[in-house]
Amino acid sequence: MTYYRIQAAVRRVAGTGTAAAAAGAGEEGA
Amino acid sequence: MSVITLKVNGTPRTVDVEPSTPLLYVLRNDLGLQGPRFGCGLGQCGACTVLIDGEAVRSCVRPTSSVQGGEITTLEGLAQNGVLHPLQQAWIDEQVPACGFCQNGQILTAKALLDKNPHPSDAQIRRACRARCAAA
Repeated sequence: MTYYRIQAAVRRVAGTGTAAAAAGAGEEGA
Repeated sequence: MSVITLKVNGTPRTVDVEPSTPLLYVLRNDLGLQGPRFGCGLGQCGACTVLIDGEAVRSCVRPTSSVQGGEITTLEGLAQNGVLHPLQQAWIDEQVPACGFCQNGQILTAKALLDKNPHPSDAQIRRACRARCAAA
C-alpha cells in the first residue's frame, strides 16, 4: 500500500496525477 | 580525530571526529539532525538517506571525510521558513506514512528523482522507488 501511495505523492508533485495521466493518455490516443 | 567542515542544509558546520566515522553518526549525534535514521547500518534499507550534491546516498556507510565540500541536505533542509516542501505536503495529502520510520529515505529519494526529472513517467517513478525507496 505504501508503495502505491509513494507513487501517488510523487505524481502529485510532478503534476502527472491520475487525472493528468488520463488526459495525457487521451491526447496520445487522439 | 580531525576537524572536518561540512555544509549541511546550507550552513557550514565544523565537527571534530574520526575521518572514517559514518556521516549518519555525525549528523545525528554531533549535529542533532534526527531526520536521517539508523536502520540496517549496511547501506541497504535507505532509512539513513541524505542528499549529497543532489544524489540520494546512504549516510550510514559514507565516511564523513569523503563528503567535505559537498552540499548535504537532510530531511530538515526541505522545509523553508516553516513551509513544507511540496513533496512533504504531498506525503501528508496522500497519507503515505505507515510506521514512518523509513519515510526519510523515501522522501529524499523521491526528491532526488524530481530534481533531476521534474515530470517522470510512471515507469520512471516505479523504477526509482523500487530501487531506492526503503520498504516501499
